[in-house]
Formats: sequence, C-alpha cells, structure tokens
Amino acid sequence: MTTAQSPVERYLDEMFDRLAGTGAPGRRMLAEAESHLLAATEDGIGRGLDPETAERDAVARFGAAAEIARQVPPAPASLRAALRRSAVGGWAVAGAALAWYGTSGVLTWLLGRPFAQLLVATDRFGRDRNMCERPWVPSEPGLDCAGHYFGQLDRVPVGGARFPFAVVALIGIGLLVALVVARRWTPLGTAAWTPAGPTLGLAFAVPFGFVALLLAFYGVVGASARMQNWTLSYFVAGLLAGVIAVVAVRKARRAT
Amino acid sequence: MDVRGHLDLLLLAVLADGGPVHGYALIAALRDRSDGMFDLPEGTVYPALHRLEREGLVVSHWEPAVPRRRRVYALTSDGRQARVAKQVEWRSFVSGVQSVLGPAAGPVPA
Repeated sequence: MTTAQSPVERYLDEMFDRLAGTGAPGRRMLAEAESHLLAATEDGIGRGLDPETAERDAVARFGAAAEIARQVPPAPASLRAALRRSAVGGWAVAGAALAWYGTSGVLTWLLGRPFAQLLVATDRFGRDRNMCERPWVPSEPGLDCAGHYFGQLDRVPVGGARFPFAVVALIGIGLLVALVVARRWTPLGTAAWTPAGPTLGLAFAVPFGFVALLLAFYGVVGASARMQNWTLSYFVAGLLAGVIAVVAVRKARRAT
Repeated sequence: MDVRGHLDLLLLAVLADGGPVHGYALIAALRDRSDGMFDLPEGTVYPALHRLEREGLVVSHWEPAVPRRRRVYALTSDGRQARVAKQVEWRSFVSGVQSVLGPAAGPVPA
C-alpha cells in the first residue's frame, strides 16, 4: 500500500501530467503503469526491501515518465487539439524564420568585407577595369575602396543594409529557447501540444525549401552579369534556408 | 544491451512461447530468458505492446485478479506469422554479420 506522496504516486502524478491529450491510450498506459508498479513494489517487499525502497526501485526500473509518455500516441485530432498543436508549430516556425533571417544578415555582414575585397581584386563590381580608381570612389577620403563597396552591400535579401538583422536574430533565437524551456517545464511539452513529427517537418521543409531555391536562383542572376549589392545576402540566406529544409526533411522521415 | 530495434521480435517470441501473459510477467520472462542481458526500462514495453496491438499482431483484455486487475496479452495468427518472418529475417541478419566478422577472434593484440 502506498502513502501520500510515495515514490509510486509521485511517478503516476507525473505520468498523468505527461499523458495529457492522449485520451484512451493514455488512460490505459496509466492504468497499466499503476498495476505494474504496485506488482513490482510487492515483489521488492517480498525480496526483503522496505516499502519506500521497494517503490523507488520499481519506479527506477520502469523508466522515465517523459520518455514513456512520448511513445503514447496522441488522441485523434479534435479542433481544440489541432489548434493547440498548430500554435506550438507556428511558434517554432516563427522563431526559426526570424532566427534564419537575422542570422543570414549577421553572416552576410561577417562575410561582406572579404567578399568586397574579392570583388575589388577581380573587378567584378562594375563594368570598367580599375574600379577603385574612378573619381566616384571613394567619396570619403579616409575610406578604402573595399570598405566603400562593403558599405554598399545589402545585409539581408529584403530590408537593405539598415535592417536590424542582429536584433531580429536574437528575437528569433529567444523565441526558440523560450519554446524549449516552456516544453520542458509546462504542459506545452505534452502530447496535447505537440505537433506530429511529419507535419512539423513539412511546415519547415516546404517554405524554407522554396525560399532556398528562389534565393539561390536570384543569387545566381545577381552574380552573372556584374555583381549586384544584394547577391551575397541572397546566397547566404538561401544556403541557410536550404540547410533548415534538409534538416526538417530528415527529421520528418525519421518520425514516419 | 540496447534492444529497441529488436523489441518487437523479442515480445512476439515470449508471447508465442509463453502463451497469454500480463505485461509484468512478460517483462520478467524477457529478463529471465536473456539472463538479465535485456534489462530494458520496463515501462517502454507497454507502448511497444500497444503498437503491436494496433498492428493486429497481439490482442489484450483486462483480467480481474487479486489484488488488482491486469491486462493480459496474447498473440494473434498474424502475430504468429510475423514472429516467424521476423525470426527468419533476424537469423539472416546474424548470418550475414557472422560472415563478415569471420571466426571468433582472440583478444586484440596491444
């Protein structure tokens, strides 16, 4: 017999919380867990353990409640469940999108100076030879030629050089971290709030994959005749979007 | 030893040889028959049994018992066929691995 707040009861309370939204399969899992843990406790007492130790031993052998609850399928979708899962999925996609857009700006900024130096060295930023010797470059006496062209580079595909890409990246990363923390410590981590793996994978893979192809195409166009100021940002953002899409596809395939 | 990739076959084998059995006894049989090698987290067996039931390989029902009711699992005819098929697949896999490894080797020289 267990007492209030005994190890088995604490475990079953945690599993009950973790199984929220799983409906009949969750109720059955909980009932079988209780039956199993009580039988294991009785066995432990029969082996000479005191009741408290026998319960702790039974719980330890049963495994982590979070890991077991994750294997119980969610209840058939209702409108409320679909909205909950969509909200969490939307949160994840929005965070990833902001982090992607802002991070591509940070990377473009980091790569911009060597990129501009490469353009100057190869005369790819203008039609004429000796692009750094023309009268309009540089307008500011203290500015070197590569620095001038670096200043002309767009940091993000749409938004230009003045776009607050670093702030956007931090907001996106903050959203993702907040989601991970919320799923660890609140009911947002239960099956009721968890989007299906393949669905979430598609929600990432389709838009990011499409954007990756589009930006790569425009990046090639921008680099073909004479190098445009937005070319680097298109390539960087496109590459990052492609990486996210590939990771999403792989995770979706693993979840099916 | 990590048995997650082979848990289905192990459960089907225990059910095929032991007949209808409740989860706690099934897990004990799995541990005893493997001499303790397959000492997996016991709770993970239940979701696996539920999945096998959804696939039509096992059936289950609550059995009233003292001091508490228990869910008893039994193999279906599809489950028996699946056990044989998975067993053949496993033996082919082991045979292939054995062919690659060759005869049992002694200690690795330093």
